[in-house]
Amino acid sequence: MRGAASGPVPVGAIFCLLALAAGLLLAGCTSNPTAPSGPQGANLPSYMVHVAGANDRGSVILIGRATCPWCQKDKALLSNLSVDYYWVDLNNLNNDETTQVISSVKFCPETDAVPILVIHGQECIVGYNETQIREALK
Amino acid sequence: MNGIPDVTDQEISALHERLSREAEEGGYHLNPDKVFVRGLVRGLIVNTKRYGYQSCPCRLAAGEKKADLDIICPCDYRDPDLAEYGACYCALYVSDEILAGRKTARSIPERRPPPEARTKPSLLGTTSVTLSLQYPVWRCRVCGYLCARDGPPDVCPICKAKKDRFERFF
Repeated sequence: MRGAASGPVPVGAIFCLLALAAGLLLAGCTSNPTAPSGPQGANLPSYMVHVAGANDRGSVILIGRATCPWCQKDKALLSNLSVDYYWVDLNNLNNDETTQVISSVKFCPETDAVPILVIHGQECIVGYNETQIREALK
Repeated sequence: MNGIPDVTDQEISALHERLSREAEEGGYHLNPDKVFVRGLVRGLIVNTKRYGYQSCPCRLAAGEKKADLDIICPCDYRDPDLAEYGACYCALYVSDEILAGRKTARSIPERRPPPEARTKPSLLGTTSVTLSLQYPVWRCRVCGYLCARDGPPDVCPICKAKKDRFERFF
């Protein structure tokens, strides 16, 4: 798959944008949307499903579709690695929400295909690439 | 538009059987991993119920047929991906080698151009051959099938792509 994206985008920006996409305003997001802040404890949009894992690698978000088998492979790998992450199923979003979520990860090398795994708001792995994911989550 | 439309096991089995038969008739093969393929077939049915056409389960559809024509399964990129990687982007369709177990299907790079570069390439006018033909020639954008007749067929006899996937070649 394409390599990891360069150019840091603060973690907080992703969460704020995702939250804003759902019409929510999170504490810390309105004054400075790029302030680094994690999702923990925040009032996240309902479509961001927290998948608890013992291995907290910081902010990890998986954007995909429940009907895409490669996304299921990504999820299985993250579970296998016990990674704590957030899952966004685009099947549950309307077109406007999808556009907004995808806009928030435009720094990714491609955003027309899933799965899109966003790590720490700055690294992006599009498509199922076990080696790259394992390396990024070491 | 929210939520996933219901899909029954029977619907999945019926489409799986049809796609498998049509693939073999046209010289293509479905991925032998049946569980994996059923997941993809389910995605195709969900997209058909949602958009009215079976857009690729692994790509983001715009929801507007004209914008998604190239990613209606089988997509415009299947054959070049089969030739280069032995599988299409979703790995629904695979090569002889993968079918025989000599190679494994894996996730491959996206061949679809970004939206700004996704102009519909028309082959019309790109040839320097000057011909005087009794009939126009139509090309299936999915598999390259050519036919000379007044208009394209309703369904491609090779890959079963529908009429709107044809372009005028000559």
